[in-house]
Amino acid sequence: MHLADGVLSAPVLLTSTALSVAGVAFGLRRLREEQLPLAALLGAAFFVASTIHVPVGVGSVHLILNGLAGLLLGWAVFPVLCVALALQAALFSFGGFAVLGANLLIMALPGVAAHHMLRGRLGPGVAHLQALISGAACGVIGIGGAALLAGALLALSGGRVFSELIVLFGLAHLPVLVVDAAIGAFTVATLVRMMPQALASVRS
Amino acid sequence: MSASARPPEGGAPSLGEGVARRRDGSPVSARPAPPARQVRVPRVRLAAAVGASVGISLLNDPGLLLAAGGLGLALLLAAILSSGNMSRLLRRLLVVNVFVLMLWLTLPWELGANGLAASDEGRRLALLISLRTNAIALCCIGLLAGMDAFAVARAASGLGLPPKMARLLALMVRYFGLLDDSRRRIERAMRARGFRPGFNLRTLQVLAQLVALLLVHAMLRAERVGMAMRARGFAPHTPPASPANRRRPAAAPAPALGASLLLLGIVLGSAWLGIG
Repeated sequence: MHLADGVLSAPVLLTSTALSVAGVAFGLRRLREEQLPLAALLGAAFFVASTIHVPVGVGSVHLILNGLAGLLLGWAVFPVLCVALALQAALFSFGGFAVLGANLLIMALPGVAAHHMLRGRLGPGVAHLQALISGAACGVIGIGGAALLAGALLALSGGRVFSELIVLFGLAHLPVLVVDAAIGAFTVATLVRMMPQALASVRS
Repeated sequence: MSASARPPEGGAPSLGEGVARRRDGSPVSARPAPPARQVRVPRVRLAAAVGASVGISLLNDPGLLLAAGGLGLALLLAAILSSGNMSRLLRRLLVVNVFVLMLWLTLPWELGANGLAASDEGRRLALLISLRTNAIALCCIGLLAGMDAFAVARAASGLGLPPKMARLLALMVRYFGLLDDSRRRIERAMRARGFRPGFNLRTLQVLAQLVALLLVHAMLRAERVGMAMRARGFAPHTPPASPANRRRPAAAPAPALGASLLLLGIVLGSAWLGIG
């Protein structure tokens, strides 16, 4: 879910960068010093997980898991994904530096939404079905929200000219949404069984 | 781009190439402090790449964009000549152009009442964006070629990131390699047990277990890292020890200080009485 550099108009770039900077600052302020290693390690784990490819038909999609990252990290998902996106731009040319703020907003805001919408439903001892539903909801909120935000930023940049692109962009992310929701569901269910205390921090 | 037709194995950018290891494989702590030039040059390159991205993003004139693209091409050629790693750098340029391809598939066409119609405005915009995207990509790939994640992190920290953000960046870069190794180890174990990824529910369940295992590894490791950091003086709620306050003797707790003074007084007093 990366918009390339050079696509969005200057006002949209500036506004989304300002909002992202505010999100990163708020996330850093909420992140206590003793939580820093956990946030960094989870960020690294999600970065590694995003290189996993899932076969879909003749091709494959790679995981994004921004909803699940948001669920576990809360507002800290802003600084963590900022680091991940900056490194992806610098090392692999996914996204770019000027569009970093927009891409961060697209990925992190649905993550924060997933955290606030789902944290009440999860915790140690949660039922298996509830864990599956919450995990799937992470994928739907994360990727669905990101596609909607990306569409909104494109629409604000180019108006009607971008309408077909927005539709194609959304359609291209449908398989990603399904895969992320399925992987999210099974991951949360496995986490609940394997390490119930892993989800304790979600409630805080 | 998220959806892609890349194969499950080998097509993904390897973390080992850019993130996990230094090129010569030497451990971080075994290196002497780099000379000032080695510190400054990556910073300048990163700052130039960010500056070029922002600057070119604001350009709307095709002539200027072509000039910027020419400059970027020169930078990329210089990078290819100096590093000799042409295929990897060109592959990155290809990644950028997947999005450009999507633009050309949609922008020049307009779905109206009379079906699909060509749109001049759309074609002009697609051309402008293609020029802009490629000019930025050429400049960035040329400027940042050969820098690994450690170099990017150091350069970014040197460009005035807030201290907490710089620590987060350093920790994340440090542990990408470790978790990438965990991922490879788990995948090898999965293959050894006969797992073959396919387009089915079982694959999703097994890959979700892989993700869950990675997260558990990360959480367990975070506990140890937190303890190790505290042991090295990164106390919660206080900034990390700087060279200035590291030299200061540790402040003794008040009761211990009082008892020591009392003991010293008794010893000195008895010695004075003895002399007397």
